[in-house]
Amino acid sequence: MTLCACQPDTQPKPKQAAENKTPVVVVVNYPLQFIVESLVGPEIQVLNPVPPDANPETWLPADAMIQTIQQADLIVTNGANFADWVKKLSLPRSKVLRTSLSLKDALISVPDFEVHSHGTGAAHSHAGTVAFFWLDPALMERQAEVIAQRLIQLVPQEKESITANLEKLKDSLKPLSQELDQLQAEYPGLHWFSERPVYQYLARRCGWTMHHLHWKQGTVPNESDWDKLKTMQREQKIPFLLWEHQPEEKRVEELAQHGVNSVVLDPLTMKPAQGDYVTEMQRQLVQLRQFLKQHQSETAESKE
Amino acid sequence: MNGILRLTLRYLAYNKLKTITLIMCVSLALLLPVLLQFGVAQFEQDLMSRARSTPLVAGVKGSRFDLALQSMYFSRADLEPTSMREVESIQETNYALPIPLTLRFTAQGFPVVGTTLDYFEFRKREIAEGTQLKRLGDCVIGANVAATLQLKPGDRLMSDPLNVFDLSGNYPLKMRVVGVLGKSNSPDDEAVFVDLKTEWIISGIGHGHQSINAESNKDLVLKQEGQTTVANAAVPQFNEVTDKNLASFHFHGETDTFPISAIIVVPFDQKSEVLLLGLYDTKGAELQLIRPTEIVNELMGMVFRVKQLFDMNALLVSISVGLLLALVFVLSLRLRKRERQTMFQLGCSRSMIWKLQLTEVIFILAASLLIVLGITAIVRVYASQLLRLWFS
Repeated sequence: MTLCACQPDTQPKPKQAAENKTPVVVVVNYPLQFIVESLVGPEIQVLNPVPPDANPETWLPADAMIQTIQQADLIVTNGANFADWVKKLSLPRSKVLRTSLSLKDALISVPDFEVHSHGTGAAHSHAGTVAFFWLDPALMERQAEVIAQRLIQLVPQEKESITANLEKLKDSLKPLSQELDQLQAEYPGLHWFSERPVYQYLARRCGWTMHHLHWKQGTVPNESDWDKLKTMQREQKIPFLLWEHQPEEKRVEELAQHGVNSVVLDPLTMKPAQGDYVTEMQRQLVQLRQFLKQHQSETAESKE
Repeated sequence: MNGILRLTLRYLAYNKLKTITLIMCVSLALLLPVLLQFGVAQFEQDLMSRARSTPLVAGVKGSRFDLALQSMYFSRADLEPTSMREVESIQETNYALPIPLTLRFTAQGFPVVGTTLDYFEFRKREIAEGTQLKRLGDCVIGANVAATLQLKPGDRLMSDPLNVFDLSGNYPLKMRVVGVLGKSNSPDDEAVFVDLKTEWIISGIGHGHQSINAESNKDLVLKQEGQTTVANAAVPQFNEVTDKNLASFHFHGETDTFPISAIIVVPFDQKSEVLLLGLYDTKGAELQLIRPTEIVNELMGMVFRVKQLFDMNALLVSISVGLLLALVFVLSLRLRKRERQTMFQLGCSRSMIWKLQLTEVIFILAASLLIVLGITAIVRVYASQLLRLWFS
């Protein structure tokens, strides 16, 4: 009920709804797909154009799909430069909902988000915003709220069911929040490695600190990378590395030799093979807690 | 009556030079105020129709006329740019749809307009041939651009460099023509439309280059720092976006800081418009929000003041032409005194002789009027094109 109370009733009338066609909502990743599907029923067609085997961050659509996306009634994007295709396609801004705009006060910017150089200049870093907001359930709730608000504008006749579904979705996210609260209570102040800036929102929620290594996916770390890792480890006493996907066994062993234990926490940018976002994320968080329990001695060292 | 007409025509045909001179004098005296009136009316109609279809325009504080004319007519005005952050700010108010415009570059002399797909929906422009903009590097051209440059979908169009002597400046981009807009008799016919992001590539904010492999591209690598490869200046930048190199195109910096020339602001209703105007009508506001109709009215006020001068001039010219014509006829009557006596002796009545003289005058006036009407009709058909030619 609070969703639309403060909004002026000034939005343009949804054309599609007037023509009695099924409105199409395009999303850029699985968490957003999960939110939209949780909020609406068959009255809205949810389209995640990214093929199951493609990376939603780098995937680019073919011509036919571009037209489908352009003709959609609503394009729900993540923001913070999450999907390449959003930056490279011509899209009608009026139909694009950038969910990051509703999280301005909560966004985390990393100073060395991207490291590169131009011409003969030395390598330098650019700040950037971490895009994986949904890893903090509180932010996912806010994303869901702003999406619900826009969906109500698209199909006003479904206002009641969308509002009810939003409450249900918020309830379903509570176990994740509780799991994170437990992690925060049991393992506060941990330091973690990650390949790139991904887990900042989850880390903030748990009172942890992330250090990213700028390791490119699919490339083998060289001597200098290992030296950098060792230096950071010495200074910060970082015993763990969070992987987005299952790493090679060899890499896990090499890291173990350097005193770094590996654990996987898939941010679920793609639909999991089993279950949905909530069940799969909860399973992973339980697994993470068990992992930390198994490495009690390292966690004690890592704490500030 | 037939006799009077025949005699008049024979007389006028015999005195060709005098007849033509008189017709020209009268025509020009009539044409000037008529064309001026017609031109000003057409100019006002053109300006007002575009202004009426552009509810509000936002841009950096400065010349209001430049801002209005640039955003409506894509004229070059070198306005101080604002940023995408301002576009977001307007959108966040939920009072209006902001349509950003970037207007810094040209392609073969035609303005390159960077915008979003909303612009075409807002102006109700349809694609006559080809498709809508799809991705980086695409352009949709106006009907006149297509006709002048003989371009069709699938062809390529190169952007013009801002400064040919600045070798370190922006590189021209070879754009893929994907569509041609239907003719609208508006400035859109004379423009090249690209996505905002394509315009940022033309300006050098974004670029694409080959990925550097430290092992296989040793001549391009300056140094290797961990997983960061530092390439030298020899790495070639792509001057065309293709399906193969699209993935390599990227932008440096935050999109919110990227430049925008002007923003067309389409309020959702009248109340929203007033609230928006109130938001930006403060000393601290970095943007000015203007109503193009008000600017056009001010502009037309100036035009009408100039027109009053022209009208006065036309009146004086008409009086002098009238007096000149009277003098010509009086002198002509004197010269033709013997002719009149001969006609009288042949049995013509005095009234018949006067009718003959009067028919001559009426004929000259009628011929002049026909010429003025003919020219006005032609101008009416091509008025908008003529005006555009005049002001281009």
